Amino acid sequence: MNDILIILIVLPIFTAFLIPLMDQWDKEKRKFLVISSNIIEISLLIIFVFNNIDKIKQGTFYLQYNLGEWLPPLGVIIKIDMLSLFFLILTNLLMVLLLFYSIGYIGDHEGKYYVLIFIIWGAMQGVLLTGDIFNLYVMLELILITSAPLIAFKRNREGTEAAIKYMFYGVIGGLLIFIAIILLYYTLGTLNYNEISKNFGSISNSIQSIIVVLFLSGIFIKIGIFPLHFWVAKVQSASPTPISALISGVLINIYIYDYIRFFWDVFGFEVLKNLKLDMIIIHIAILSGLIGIILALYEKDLKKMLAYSTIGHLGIIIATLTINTKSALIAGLFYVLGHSVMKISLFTTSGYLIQHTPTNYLEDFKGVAYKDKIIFAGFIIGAGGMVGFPPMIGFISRWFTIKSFLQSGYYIPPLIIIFGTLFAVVYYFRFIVNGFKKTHLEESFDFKLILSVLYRERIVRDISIVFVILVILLGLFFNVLYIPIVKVVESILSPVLYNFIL
Amino acid sequence: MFVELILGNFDLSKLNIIFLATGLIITTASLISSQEYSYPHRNWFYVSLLIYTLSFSMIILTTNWIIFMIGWELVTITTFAMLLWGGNKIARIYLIIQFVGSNFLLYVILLIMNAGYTTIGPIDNYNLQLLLIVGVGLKSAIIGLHFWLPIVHSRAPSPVSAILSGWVVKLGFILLLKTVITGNIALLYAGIAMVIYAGLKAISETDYKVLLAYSTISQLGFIAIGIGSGNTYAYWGSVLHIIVHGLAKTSLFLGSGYWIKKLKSRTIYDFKNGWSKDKINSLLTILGLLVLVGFPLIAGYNSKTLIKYAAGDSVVFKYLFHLMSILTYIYVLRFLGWGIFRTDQVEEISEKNIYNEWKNIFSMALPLAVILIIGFASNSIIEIDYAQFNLINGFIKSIIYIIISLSLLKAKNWIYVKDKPVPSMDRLLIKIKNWYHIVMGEDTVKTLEVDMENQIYNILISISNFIHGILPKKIQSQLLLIPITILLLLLFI
Repeated sequence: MNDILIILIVLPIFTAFLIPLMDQWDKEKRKFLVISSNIIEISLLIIFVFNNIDKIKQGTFYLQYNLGEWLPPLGVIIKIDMLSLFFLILTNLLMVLLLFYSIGYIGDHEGKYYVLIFIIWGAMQGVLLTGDIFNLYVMLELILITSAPLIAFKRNREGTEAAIKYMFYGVIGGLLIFIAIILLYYTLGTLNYNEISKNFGSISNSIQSIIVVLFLSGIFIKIGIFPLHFWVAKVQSASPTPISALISGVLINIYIYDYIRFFWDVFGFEVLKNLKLDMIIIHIAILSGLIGIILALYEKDLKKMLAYSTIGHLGIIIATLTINTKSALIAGLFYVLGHSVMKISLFTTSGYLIQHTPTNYLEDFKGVAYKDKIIFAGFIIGAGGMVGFPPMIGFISRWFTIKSFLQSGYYIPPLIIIFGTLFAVVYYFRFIVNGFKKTHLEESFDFKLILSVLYRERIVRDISIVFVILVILLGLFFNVLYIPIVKVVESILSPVLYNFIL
Repeated sequence: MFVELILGNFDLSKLNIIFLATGLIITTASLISSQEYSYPHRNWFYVSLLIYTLSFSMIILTTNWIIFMIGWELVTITTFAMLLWGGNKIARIYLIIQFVGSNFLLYVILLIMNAGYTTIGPIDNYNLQLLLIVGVGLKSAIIGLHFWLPIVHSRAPSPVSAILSGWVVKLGFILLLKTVITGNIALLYAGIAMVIYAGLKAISETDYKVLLAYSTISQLGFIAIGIGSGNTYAYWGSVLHIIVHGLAKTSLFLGSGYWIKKLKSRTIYDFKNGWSKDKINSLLTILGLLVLVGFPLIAGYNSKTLIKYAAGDSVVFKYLFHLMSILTYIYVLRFLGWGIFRTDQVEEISEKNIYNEWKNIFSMALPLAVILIIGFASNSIIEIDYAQFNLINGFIKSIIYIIISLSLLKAKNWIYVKDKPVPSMDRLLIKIKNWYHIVMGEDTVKTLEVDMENQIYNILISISNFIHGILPKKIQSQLLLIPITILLLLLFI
C-alpha cells in the first residue's frame, strides 16, 4: 500500500516524459494521455484515502516509504501524515481542475506546456511527501525551474522580463534555503526531518538563529511577504491565466505547507518563541497584508490587482498561523483552503472574461458583463467571497481568523483586517461597475480570440463555473470540513507520530 | 439532523414568531405594492426579496451568533440589490457604508463571544453593550450614525423604502431587545436625542419622503428609550412599538409612493388638498400618522404609554415626554395642514385610474388592519400583568397636545419653509467640508464635482499611491531589500 506514495510523485513526472514521445507518434492523441494521467492520479489518491479511511477519521494517520529499502538515518524516506494529506488532497483537486482548464485555454505549444506543468505537479507532490530536507530543496528548485518557462509562455517582452525577475528571486530564495541546509548538515550531520527535529535544540543559539532566519527569508521570498514581494505582481500579470492561478492558488499552498512543517515540526515552535521571532513574524505579516491590500487599489491591471490581493491575504494567513493556538491554526487552514479556491475562481472567470478585451486593464473591462452574464456573476461571487460576504467561504475564514486573533488577545490586527477589506470592496467594485458599463464591444471583441473552437471555450467556461460553485458549497457546508481540519491541527500541534521511525 | 439544527440554533418563542409574522406582513405589503412599479428586471427584485425574507427570519429566530451575522450580511446585500433595482446610484454608497458597519459589528460580536457569551442572550457588561449598540448603529440609525438614512430612504423606490424604514432598521433593535435587557443609560440618552433631533428636522422638511425618513429616526428614538431605560413596562412598550411602527411606516411609505405617482411631485405644498383628490388614500395616510402620534384606541397609544413608564419618578423626564409628544404632533399636523386639508388652493385632477386602485388600498390597508387588531389585543403580546390602558386620560391628553401644537403652528404660520432639494451625500459632504474650512479659517465651498463614492475612492487611492511611491522601483534596489531584511531579522534576535 505504501507504494502508492511513490507512484503519486512518479506518475506526473513519468507522464511529462511520455508526452514528447506521444507527440512524435500522434499529436492529436496527446489530450487523451493528459486526461487519462489526470484521472489515474486522482483515482489513486481516492483509493489511497479510502484504504486508510479509519486511521484518517481517528487522526492517527501515518505512512512511510523507504526509498531503495534504506532505513531512515541514511536513506531517503517518503512519508505522509494528516497535514501532508490535507495539502495533498487540496493540491490534487485544484491541479486536476486547472489542467482541464488549461486544455481549453492554452492554444499553442501545448506539448511543452503539459510537460512543464506535469513536472511541477510531481515536484509539488514531492515537497508534500518528502521526509528529507535535501530532497525538499531539489523539489523546490524543480518547481522554480519548470515554472519560470511557463511564466514566459506567451513569448513576449513582459513575460520574459517577469520570468527573469522570478528566477532572480526564486534562485536567491532557494540559495538561502540551501545555505540553511548546509549549516544544518554541517552541525548535525543529517538531512532527515526526524533526526533534525530531535537534535535541533542541541545546536548553539547563534547558529540556530542564522538557520531559522535564512530558512524563513527563503520561504518568505517564495510566498511573497512584504519587503520581499516584488516579483509577485509582475509575474502574475505576465503569465497565462492558468499559470497565474497555479502560482497564486496552488504553489503558494506548498510554501505554506513548508512553513508549517518546518516551524511546527522540524524546528519546533519553541525555537521561534525562544528567539522571540514569532511576534516579529506576526507584525511583518500583518504589515504585509495591509500593504498588499492597499497596493491592490493602486493597480489598474486586473491580474496585478489579484496578485496584490494575494500578497495581502497571504500576510494575514501567515500571521494567523503564527499565533500558534488551536483555533488560530484551524482559522489558518480554513483561510488557506478558502483563499486558494476563491483566488483560482477569480483568475479562471476573469481569464475567460479578458479573452473578450484587448488588455487586462480597467478601462478595457467595460461591458464584459454583457458578454457572458453567468461568468461575470461568477466573478462577482468570487470577489464577494474575497471581501467576506456570506454564504461564500471567505466569510467563514474571516470569522475564524478574527476570532482566533481576539482569543489570543490581539485587538488591533483584526481592525487592520477589517480596514483592509474596505479597500477590497472598493477595488473589486471598480471592476464590477466598469463591467456593467455599456460600450461598443463589437470592435474590441475580435481583437484577441484564442478560444476559437467551441469546445475549448466550453471547457474553460465549465471549469470556471465549477470553481465558483466550490466557493459557495465550501461556504455553505464548512461544518463538514470542520472536524477533519481539527484533526489536522491536532496532528500539527503534537507531531509525535511523524517523528516515529519504523 | 435538520430538526436538530433548527432546535439547536433557533429559538421559536412566541415573541420571535410575532416579530417574524410582522416582518412577513411588511414584506407582503411591499411585494403587492411593487407590482405597480415599472422598473426593468422585476425578477431581480423578487429574488432579492425572497433571500431578504429568509435572512431576516434568520436574524430574528437564531440564538447562534454566526447565523445571526450571516443573516445580517445577507440583509445588507439583498437590500443593496433591491436599491439597484430602482436604478439608484445611492445603492453603491449604501453598500459601502453598511459594509463598514457590519464589519465593525462582526468585530464586536467576536469580542462578545470571546467574553463568554457564546449564544445570543443577555449581556451584563456595560462596555460590551455599548460596543454592540454602536455596532448595530449604522444599520439601525442610532444618532450620529443616522446620516445616510434620510438620503437612502427618501431616494429609494417606495416599496424598498417601506422595507428599509419599516423593518430593516428594526432588526438591530430586535438584537438589542435580546441582549440589553437590564437597560443602558447611553442608549437611553441616545434615544432622547434621536426623538428631539429628528423631530425638529422633520418639522422643517418639505419633501414628504424625507419627512417620513426623519420621523423614522424619531420613532426609533422611542424604541431606544424603552430598551435603554431598563424598565420592564418600557421594555415591552419597545417590543410593541417595533411591531406597530414597522407596520405603520410601511403603510405610510407605500402611500407616499402612490401620492408621488398621482401628484408627480414629492413636496408637501404640491399636495394642494389631497383629501379632495384621493379620499381613500388620504384616510389611510391619516390613520398611519395617528399611529405615529400615539392616538388612543390605536396600538401606537399602547406602545407609547408603556414607553412613558421609562420616566419613572423623574419629573423632568415626564415633561420631556410631553415635549416629545408635542413635537410628533407638530410635524404630523403640519403635514396634514399643508398636504391633506389645505383649503386655500383646491385643484382637481382630471385623469383618474392611473394605477390599479385595489392593490394600492390593499397594500396600505393590510398593515393598518393588523395595527387595529393589535390595538385591542396588545395585552396578549406583552407578557406582563397590566391593567386597562386608560383611554379617557389618553383622549384628554391627545386633545391638549393637539390644541397646543395647532396654536403653535398657527402662530408660526404653519412653518412655511422654502423648497429644499432632496438630500444627497454630496451636500452632506459639502457640509462636513465647510465645517472643516470654517475651523481652519478658509473659504467655504458650494459645489463638489464628484459624489461621495468618488471622494472615498480618492482618499483611499491617495493612501495607495503614497505607499506605492515610497517603494523602490528598480530591481537592484528591490533585490537589495533581501539582505537588509535578513540583517534586520538577525539584529532583532
